[in-house]
Amino acid sequence: MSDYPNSDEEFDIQHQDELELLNDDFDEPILNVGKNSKSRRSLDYGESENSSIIKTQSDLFSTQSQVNVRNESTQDISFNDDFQPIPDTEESTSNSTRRIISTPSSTQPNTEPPRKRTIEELFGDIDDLLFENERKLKKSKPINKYEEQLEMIEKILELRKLNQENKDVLFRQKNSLISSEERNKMNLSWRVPSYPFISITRNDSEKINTQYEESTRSIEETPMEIDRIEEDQNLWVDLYRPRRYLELLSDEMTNRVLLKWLKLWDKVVFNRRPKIRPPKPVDGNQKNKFNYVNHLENQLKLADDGRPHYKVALLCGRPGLGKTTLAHVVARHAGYNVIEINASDDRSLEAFRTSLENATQMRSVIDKQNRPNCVVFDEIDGAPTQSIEFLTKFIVGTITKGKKKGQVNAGVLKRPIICICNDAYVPALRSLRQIAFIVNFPPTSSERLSERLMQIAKKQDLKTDLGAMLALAEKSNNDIRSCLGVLHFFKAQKKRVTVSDVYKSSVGQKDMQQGLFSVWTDIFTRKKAKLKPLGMEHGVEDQQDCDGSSKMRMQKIQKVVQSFGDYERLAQGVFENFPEVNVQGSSLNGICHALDWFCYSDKLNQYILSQQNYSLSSYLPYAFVVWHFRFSSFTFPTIKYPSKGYEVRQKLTNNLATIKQLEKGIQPKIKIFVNPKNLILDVLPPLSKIITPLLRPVNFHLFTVEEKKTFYRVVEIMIDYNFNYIQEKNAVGFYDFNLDPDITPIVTYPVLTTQNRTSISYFVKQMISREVELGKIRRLQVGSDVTENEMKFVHKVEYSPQEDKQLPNHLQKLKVKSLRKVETVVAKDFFGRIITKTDDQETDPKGPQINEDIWFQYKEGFSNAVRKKIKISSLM
Amino acid sequence: MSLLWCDKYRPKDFSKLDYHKDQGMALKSLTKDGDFPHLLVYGPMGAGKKTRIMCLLRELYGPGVERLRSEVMNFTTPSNKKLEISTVSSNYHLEVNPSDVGIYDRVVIMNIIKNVAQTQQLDVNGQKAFKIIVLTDVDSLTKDAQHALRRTMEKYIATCRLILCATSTSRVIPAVRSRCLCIRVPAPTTEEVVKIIVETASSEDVDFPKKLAERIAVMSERNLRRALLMSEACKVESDGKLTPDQNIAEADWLVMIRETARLILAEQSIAQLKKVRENLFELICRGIPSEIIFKYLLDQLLEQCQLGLAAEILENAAIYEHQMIRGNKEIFHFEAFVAKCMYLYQNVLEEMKCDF
Repeated sequence: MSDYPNSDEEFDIQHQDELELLNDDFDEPILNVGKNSKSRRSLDYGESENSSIIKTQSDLFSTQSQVNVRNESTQDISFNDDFQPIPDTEESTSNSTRRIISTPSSTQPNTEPPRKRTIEELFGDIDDLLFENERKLKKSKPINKYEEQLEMIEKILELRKLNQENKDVLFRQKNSLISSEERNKMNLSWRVPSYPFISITRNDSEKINTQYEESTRSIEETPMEIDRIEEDQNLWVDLYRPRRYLELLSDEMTNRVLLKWLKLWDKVVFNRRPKIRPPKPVDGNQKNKFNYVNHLENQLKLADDGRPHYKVALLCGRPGLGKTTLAHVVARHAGYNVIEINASDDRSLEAFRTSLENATQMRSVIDKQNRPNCVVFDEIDGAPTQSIEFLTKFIVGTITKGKKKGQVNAGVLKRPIICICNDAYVPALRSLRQIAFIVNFPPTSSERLSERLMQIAKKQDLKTDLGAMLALAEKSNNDIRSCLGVLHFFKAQKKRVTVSDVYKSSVGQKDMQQGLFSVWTDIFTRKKAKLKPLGMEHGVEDQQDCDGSSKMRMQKIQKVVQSFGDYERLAQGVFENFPEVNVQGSSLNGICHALDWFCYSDKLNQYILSQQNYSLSSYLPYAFVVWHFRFSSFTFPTIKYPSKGYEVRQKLTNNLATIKQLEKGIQPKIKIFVNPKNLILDVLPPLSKIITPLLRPVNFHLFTVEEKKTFYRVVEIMIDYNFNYIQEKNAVGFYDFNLDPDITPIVTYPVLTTQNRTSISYFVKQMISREVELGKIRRLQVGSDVTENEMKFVHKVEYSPQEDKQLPNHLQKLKVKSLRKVETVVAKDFFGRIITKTDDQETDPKGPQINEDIWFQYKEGFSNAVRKKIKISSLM
Repeated sequence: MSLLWCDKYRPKDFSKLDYHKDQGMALKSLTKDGDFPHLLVYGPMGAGKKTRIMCLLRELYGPGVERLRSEVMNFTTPSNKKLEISTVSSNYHLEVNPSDVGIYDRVVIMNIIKNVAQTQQLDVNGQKAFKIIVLTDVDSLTKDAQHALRRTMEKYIATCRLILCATSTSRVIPAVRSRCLCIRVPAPTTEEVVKIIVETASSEDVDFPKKLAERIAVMSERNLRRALLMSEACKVESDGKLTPDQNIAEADWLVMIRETARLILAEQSIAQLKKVRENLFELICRGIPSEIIFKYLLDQLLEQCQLGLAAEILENAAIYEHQMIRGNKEIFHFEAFVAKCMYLYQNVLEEMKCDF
């Protein structure tokens, strides 16, 4: 395959993948219907005979590529020549004719073919238009790439429109017979080589023919289906959920980008070469929209191991944009079996792991279709953090594992994963966000939405007009789901829907959560004049609006605050910002009033939390209304994030921790008399002065007696209260001795201009520090000595110590020494009676003795000094 | 042994008490039979509640109670949160401050105290039949904990006695109060404080001027611990010779509160409100209990207001302090109170202007 031989060729190639994307869509039904797939295989040049059913699709693609090659070999052939019947056209035509022949036997399964033909015929009619388009496109050939994209999108939109029209026509003609004339027409149109719809799929005309047949089938099936289910209590949202790529309502760019990403997996999943365009340089002159798309598309590239660079796609956008639908449709479109895991499933780490591994490493056997899986994690922002972290590790971490083993093994993720969330900036998603291909959903255009709503209304025999639908779309902020919900509701009322109806209905409006700052801004500002929304003039609200805007303001604030929900943080923000915002205005009385409401909300909050009675929280938003009326102004406020409350709480926790640490170390004898409260209030402030006496920074030996006394006092007190000085490097880089635990931030206030606090010098601190350490050890020693001394005392009484001491060492003789006397325990039985032993073993009054001689043996060794045990106290 | 005056000269025996001697004798006679009821000892800080409790214990068990050790006890809340609380205990008693663990104090009462209370003394002849549990800061116990306490008190009367220690009984539920013998330990009078300061100083070979001692006694609000610590701080700062008109260092938080009160009365505006808020934040973040801040702030304000305004401020203070205890974020209530004071004060000032 040569690269870009001429412009025409290039155009073809470039469009090829787009078209393939479309083609895939048409493939889909084939796989569903066994009969069709059979006929399908007849196109496979017999190759399919040795290929399993699983491979059907890839086979299709191989034929397609073959055809492509063939096409490319006839490069010089003009546009129309593209659908020169390629050898097997005969077969295909015969195939189609076969079907036509089979039509007359109008048995139940054969009701389909006539419709197909009508569709083909219809296509034939309209495709002329399309062909016109195509030609125009061709003429304006020096298109740069983004324009191509635009054209492509237009084409898709065109096709979408066509589909719609077809459907309408079909709907009307559903049960009418098709005249033979039409059939002829169709036949005729089939044979004419310059047939426009073929021009869409220049590469392999016959294939597209049959595909259109299939697609028409599915198109006409949709209305049928709806008719059938209508009696059921199905939600309209499900009823009219787009089932095919062309029916998608969401932004075309987004759809395409996601589909392209999914197509990148083809190499790994289907073992076919995905089409990747060389990354386009982003041109500054181009429109922003296209820059964005280009930027997105440039991100789409394959990693070294044949998998896409981004292993996971993250769709984010507000509710009701059709994210879930898009994911499902696109995944099915690309030939995957969708496995959805959403918030209703158990998403604990264990369950999550099982389902993830099952979905990506196994293949369903029960399902005949044998499609590879594509995992869709819906509402992932609500999943537990551990699960998301596991997902991230699963995507990233297992790669390294695979590499270590030297080859791609089962541990490597080989299936696409699509995650869906409303808010991509949830903290839990942070790790995922870095490795994901993020697709942001722009809002659906209200025109498209209202058109769709019109169609649905028509199908449901709901009388309405486009204006009302537009209003509805706008009111619900282009949320498809809520629009359909409202429509369904109107349908139940069985009357005509007008614009005013839409405005009057309170349904369709939902909580629109705003950011923190925008809520605060709303509270602190008031709008000068309210612009009435369209259609409001003849509403009931009109009168309400007249009696002062205060009611409107109140409702607005209440709604905004209520939808945000985190009242406590909001209140904190208002509290910390109102002095800045409101410097010029209101009187102290007003402030008092507002502050009373702070007290009220705090009390209420505390009550709610302590009693867990959340029903009361509906009263909380009213406080914000009061604050709004008190603090709002026309000027735009500069709002700061309320960090003061948090800082104070943090400091308090730190300080209390310090106190606790201090308390822990205080000697128990003192500890029983103090508690944190009186430490803070009574003890520490004077104590901090007591332990910083005036001491000259001279050597300890030069201290006067008085000074020495003070010095030791300080040391003792510090030991008692578990203080010490520890050496630390300060910010400037000098070493300094700091009190530990450091109570200075607790007892001192930087705001106060205190009289010069006596601070002791570095040198004295060092001395104190050393002395405190020694003192602590000494105390430990003393503590253990107490018992030792007692022991000694007892010992001395027993033996006459003088005798031992008076004898010089060399005169002493080894004496027979009784072993430590074993205390005789009187054996008692369970009831306390003394057990008398049968054979009386009289204990020797002298105790057990060593009767043998004691021998000393000289062992050769190294000993150059007399070793003596000394206590640490003798070193100090 | 500690060399701080307040620790060193703490009386260890009822006979050595400096004041409330009658009460001391009464307590002593209470223990004569070797048994006594649950006690609720209450009184202001620094009045000598703990001293009396320790004297009582010593009277009961002998000097063995002074062999103290501090331990850390672990327990698990029903919600599986692991908490630890430090206790001081001897062989005969256990002292614990359940409010150290905040809202989990009920669990402390339920687990730790029950555990201690349930264990019988093995050798009844050698010791008393009961152990003693000293609970401090009972008034900051949650209601739940206090309710948990009332049954425990009755159930384990055979094996343990409780001595509760509180600043005031108003936050102790009546059910608990009625189960205890309530003993109030009032603060010593100014004269007593002066006497104690002078005596203590003289036994430390320090010549302490009586005038200075009087000033300290007033400033310390008859809180003996504070008074002794202040005198000692004076001594350290005095550099040898103590003079009657010496500067007495006050605790910084008191100075801060006074400054805050001054701010409130100096100017009434939102900007000033903001400054006051900053000051209050400083105080709160240092762990000064909010009711203390409130009390001293109110004291300082009342000092400067005439009667009519004072009554109004007092009334509002009562309202806001009550709200503050029921709420969670003190600063809201402080600020509301401050704003109210400013408003009232401003009104009075304007009226005065009109009068002139």
